[in-house]
Amino acid sequence: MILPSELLRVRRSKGKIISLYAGDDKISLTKTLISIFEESVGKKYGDLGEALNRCEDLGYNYRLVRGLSTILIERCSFQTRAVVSPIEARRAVFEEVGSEVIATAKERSRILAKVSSRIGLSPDDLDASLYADLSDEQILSEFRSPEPLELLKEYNFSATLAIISRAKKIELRCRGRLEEPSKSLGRGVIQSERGAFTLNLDLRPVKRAGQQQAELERLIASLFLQEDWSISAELQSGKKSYLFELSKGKIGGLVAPKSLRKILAREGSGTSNKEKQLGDVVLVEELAMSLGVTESEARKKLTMKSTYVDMGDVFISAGKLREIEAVLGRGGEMTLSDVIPKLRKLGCRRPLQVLEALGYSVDWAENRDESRVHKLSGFKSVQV
Amino acid sequence: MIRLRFESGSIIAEGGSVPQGKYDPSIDAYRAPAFHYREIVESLEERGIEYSDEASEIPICPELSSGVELRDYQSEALDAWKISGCRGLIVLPTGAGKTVIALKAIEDAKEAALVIVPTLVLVDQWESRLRESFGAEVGVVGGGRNTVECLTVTTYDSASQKVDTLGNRFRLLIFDEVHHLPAPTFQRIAEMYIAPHRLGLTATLERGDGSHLALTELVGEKVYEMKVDDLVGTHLSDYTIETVQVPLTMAERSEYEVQFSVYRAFIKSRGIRMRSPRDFQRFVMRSGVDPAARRALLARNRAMYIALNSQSKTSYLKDLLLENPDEKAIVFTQHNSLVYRISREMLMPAITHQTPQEEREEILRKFRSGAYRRVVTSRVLDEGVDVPDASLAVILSGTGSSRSFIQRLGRVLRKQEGKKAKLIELVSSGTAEIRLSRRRKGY
Repeated sequence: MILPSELLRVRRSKGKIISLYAGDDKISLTKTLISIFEESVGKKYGDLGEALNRCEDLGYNYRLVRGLSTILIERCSFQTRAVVSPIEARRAVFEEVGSEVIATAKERSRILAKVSSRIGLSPDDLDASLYADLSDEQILSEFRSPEPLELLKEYNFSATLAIISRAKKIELRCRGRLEEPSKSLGRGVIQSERGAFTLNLDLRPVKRAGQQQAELERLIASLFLQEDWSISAELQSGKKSYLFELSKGKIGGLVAPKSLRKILAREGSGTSNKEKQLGDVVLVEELAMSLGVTESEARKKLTMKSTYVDMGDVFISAGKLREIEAVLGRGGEMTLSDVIPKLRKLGCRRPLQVLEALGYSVDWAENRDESRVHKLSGFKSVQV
Repeated sequence: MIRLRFESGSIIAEGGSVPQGKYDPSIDAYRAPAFHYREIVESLEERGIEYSDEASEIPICPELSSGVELRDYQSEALDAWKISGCRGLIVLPTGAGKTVIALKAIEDAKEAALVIVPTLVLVDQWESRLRESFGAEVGVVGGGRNTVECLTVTTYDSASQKVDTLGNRFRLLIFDEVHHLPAPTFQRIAEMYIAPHRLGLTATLERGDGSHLALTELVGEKVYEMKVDDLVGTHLSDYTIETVQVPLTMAERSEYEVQFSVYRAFIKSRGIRMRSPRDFQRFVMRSGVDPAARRALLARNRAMYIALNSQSKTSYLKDLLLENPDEKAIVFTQHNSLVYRISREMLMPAITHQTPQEEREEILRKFRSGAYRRVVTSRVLDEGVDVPDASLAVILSGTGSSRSFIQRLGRVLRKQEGKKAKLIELVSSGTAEIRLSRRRKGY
């Protein structure tokens, strides 16, 4: 992962930007943080956040604490624990309240008791479910602990990526083999001379979330596998330019990704692995972006795959399409506010486009509640 | 002959120089930010230079008719915008009908228009308003949708990310809540779109950081402005503003004093004087490198949190709502934690950025219809969202921004027969929140 730029710790001096990496002296902090996470398993995310805040109060640099915590959060799984869907619970309770003002605990209990008996659960379960979907209420269900040193290296690697991701141009050098970077990262030229490779890349702005981050991580991780590697990146801050430099010899093994081999295996070496992970609903635009190809090339790739049905800007797998058609049925008296959540629940993006492609028509009214959806007569199911 | 084309927010001129263009040796052509498109074309025409324009891909749009009738001041505003070459900013209070001016501008301009709004809620609102007014197909880009029509609505985020595909397809840009545009990531929208005609709408133009001044170049001059008090009684509801000071509980007071004294001691020891928001900004920046400043900042934040979220305010709110059972009320807070505390305690529908979009729409719909009489929210309803007949706004906490204050007031100002709107703000007495409250009201 790339460390959020607001958590970066750097020093600028004489036209250079120097990353303030976490060294061995921060091992005790990493141990403390890891144990906070371990002890928080089974507790709420909000409680974990408070424990981490207290750690900041101990005098450690807050950017370092938050940066390390950001890496650790990637190793967590969270769950919503609710007996009934929180949205449904809230709707039932608010509707019961109506125009009343609830000012005392007694009035509150009365409402919860009434609603809970109607939907068949205890008032406490209803109360606990009301806002169980808020991020602070999520339960930390699993934490995969790293070794303290491993965490330090991973943090330093993320910080390195954060600096490089803000560069306009980067130059990577190594002895060994350099892979061609994904086109989504920008225009790159590789030169080789007697076993030494140089890649010059005009880097596109790297978005905070998305495929580009994974591509950059993979590129730099693959460089770290080579001999005698070095990185030089040009950054612009206002009108000033800064140079960031890093090489294998200088960093003393303190910078390394989570698992080099794992990143490379996860991302694969070509487009084939990515295509395998496309999922049931694929947006042409996103696929093009992730493969670094034009939209028409991405569309061609999807068209060649017999398992997908073309819905315009979105392709849907045959299995998913049958699922959608089964849920929608003949339309009848459905409204848009019935249909769209159903489609979204099935993972269906661009629901209106999908409806249209499946032969449904929408009689638009002022709002979704009154906009009726019905199947056009004579329209056959999409052949897959 | 010069060939003009559009590429990633730039006009590329091959075969000769153009105004504002810089020579780019990598493509052997001149490159200029796309918002100079009109100036470039006008200059080539004036100088009689032959050129082929492959930059613009603006479609021919069908004639549109909205049947919208403007009030006198709305017509004046629209005329002022047209006289300025269909560029400029119109500043009108919430509820004064900025949307209808935009609809009329689209109708009169007869050209492909892109409406850019800050939130997905506003995308939906604009989409139905455009469809309802013109009976035309409306494209939407953002929130997982991506259809482009002659009339298209998008968010500032999407407009900024989709420069390549949208930048050369519209002649008119309408920036709703245009005060968002000067943010660094959004400025590129104005710079990288070729649209020569631009209309910026807002209730409050000034930004604390002064960056609204950039709007003149990006969108145009302020061509028309009316303030709340110019329209009260005629086009907006009469209103009253009441500030109520509420004491902290004893436990809160003692913790507040402990925390605030840490901050005060630091400021005094370093001889820092807080005379303006800029001084405070400098202090925040210092806290990034100075651990003592960081401790002082955190202590101050804790003290302010206590003042803004005092339990006494919640108790006062309950009494206030019991005294005004028939008023449709919106309760505003600064922090989400207070929103959810109130929502849990009083079982009141809540809207924050964490509320799923469909639930948010449902709550607003039921609030409109009267099925829900109260909503508690943090900042997401501060602007834009159409809440027609709320009559009571309670500000439990907020920032010192007068823009946010005016936006919140605007939520209850839509004119209705016999309506007298009330804005009541609760402020913790004897705390720094008093200064915050004065600042947002411009005292």
